[in-house]
Amino acid sequence: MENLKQLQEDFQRFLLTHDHGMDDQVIGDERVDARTRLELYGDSYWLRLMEALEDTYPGLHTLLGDEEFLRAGRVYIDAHPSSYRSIRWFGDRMAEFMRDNTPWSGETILGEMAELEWARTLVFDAAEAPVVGEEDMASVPPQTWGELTFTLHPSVHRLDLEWNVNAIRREVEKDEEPPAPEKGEYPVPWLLWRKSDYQTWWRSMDVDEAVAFDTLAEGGNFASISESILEWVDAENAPLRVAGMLKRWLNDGLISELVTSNRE
Amino acid sequence: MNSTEHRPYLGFGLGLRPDHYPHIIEHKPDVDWFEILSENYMVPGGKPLVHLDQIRADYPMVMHGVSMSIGSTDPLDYDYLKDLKALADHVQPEWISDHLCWTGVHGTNMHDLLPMPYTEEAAEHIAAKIREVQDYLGQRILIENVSSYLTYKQSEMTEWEFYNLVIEKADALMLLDVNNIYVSGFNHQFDPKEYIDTVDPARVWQHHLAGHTNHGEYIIDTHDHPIIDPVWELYEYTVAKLGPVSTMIERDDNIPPFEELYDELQVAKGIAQKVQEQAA
Ligand SMILES: [Fe+2]
Repeated sequence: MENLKQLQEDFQRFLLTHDHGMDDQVIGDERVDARTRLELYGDSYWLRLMEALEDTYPGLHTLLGDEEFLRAGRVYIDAHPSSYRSIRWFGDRMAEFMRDNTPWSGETILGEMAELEWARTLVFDAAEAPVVGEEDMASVPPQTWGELTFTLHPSVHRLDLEWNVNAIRREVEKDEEPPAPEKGEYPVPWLLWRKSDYQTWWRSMDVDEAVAFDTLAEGGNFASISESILEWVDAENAPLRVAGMLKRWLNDGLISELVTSNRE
Repeated sequence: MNSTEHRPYLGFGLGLRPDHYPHIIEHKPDVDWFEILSENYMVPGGKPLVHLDQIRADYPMVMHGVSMSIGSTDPLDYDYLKDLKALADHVQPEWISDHLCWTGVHGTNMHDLLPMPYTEEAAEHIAAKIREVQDYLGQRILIENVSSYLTYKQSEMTEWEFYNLVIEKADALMLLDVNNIYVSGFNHQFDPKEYIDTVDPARVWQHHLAGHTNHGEYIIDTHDHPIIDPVWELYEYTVAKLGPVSTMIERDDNIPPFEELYDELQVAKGIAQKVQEQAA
């Protein structure tokens, strides 16, 4: 299969680089010459990947404008060809790409928007899992709460965003005029997740809630979550405060499982 | 193998597209079956899978993939096949199909259905891989002819000779896309009827019909327009030649309301009925 192997390597290299290694391996005729026939494939390769980026990154597209989005897309496609069986996964490195490459790295909103938009795709088709509610928590004996740990729903994503990218993205999705980019003084902690109605939800958190949530996400038990917020509340009131937060997380559908420590 | 007696027949179907989920779930339209794009449902979870299950409860389905890359000189991707099999276990499709093409080498996916050179060497290679897939999936698969825009100098035979040879060698089945034959016939100046005359009817289990974009010198297979009259005529010829074969319309872009595709499907149905009445 040496001929086939060589031909496929040559063809793929042509698609990736537009070199001339395939020109004399293809038959042209008076209607359509060989190079034009090859370029039909070259163009559709690029267009298809570009469409995938447009689907995933409409907010980034809006921020960059048509021309610059096309330019960035071309560089991205050259830098990160797809190795995915589904084109849905193409574009996974866009946030990193925006942050690491000039001129886009100069505008930090671009990396943030890309990060948000990729996270939204992950929320959309994250794995299914049950959610537990307040009543499940109520059935755990209070004296064992300290050791209790939690499993998050697979769709939950935590982002820290300096820019108002969520607000911009929301308007873009509705086809409305987005607000002007605005940078906050501090990064704002955000939660993104999918509720049982399959809608994507997001909300911001105060910094103490974010610290507590991150402690939970890292596998911390109730006691260590309470400890994590001692900067904002005294030791006596911390468990109560965490219980309040937990109630909200449970009602939001963020928690899939309560894990009691005495489980074998 | 030339009896069509044991060929399963599903009737007239449509490609399942997300735009149409709500309509189908609400109205349960009178469509015999749906074809799903396998890769769209090879995801961890979420709404598409929920819709898939809802619709599957009411309709037979077949699974159609684009990333098996059966013609590639890369080895088969068993991670892909494992997920394909898991999806098939879940959906219980009437059959599974992919294309007579390759999509990339060295683990890269060009996300395009790239044509094969029509050589003995390539036929041998692709048939062996189809057999491997069939062994793994525990069933024969359907392989679809693709639209193509170029001919390799390496090619030693016609597309239809190649296609027939591969399917025969692999003991596989055909998903014969009538529009693709028309498109390739236009692009390479062959007679589509000559193509259809050569296939073994017993191996043809499904047809695709679709629209395309004519650029004058060449046709691109875009699936974004209604089916054109010459393709309907070719479909009529095909039905007369091959008998009743499960037929569906593919629409992937510029997607109209469901009713429009439903009406287009009735045209296909009407043609098949007319041919059968004439034969009776
Ligand atoms: Fe097709």
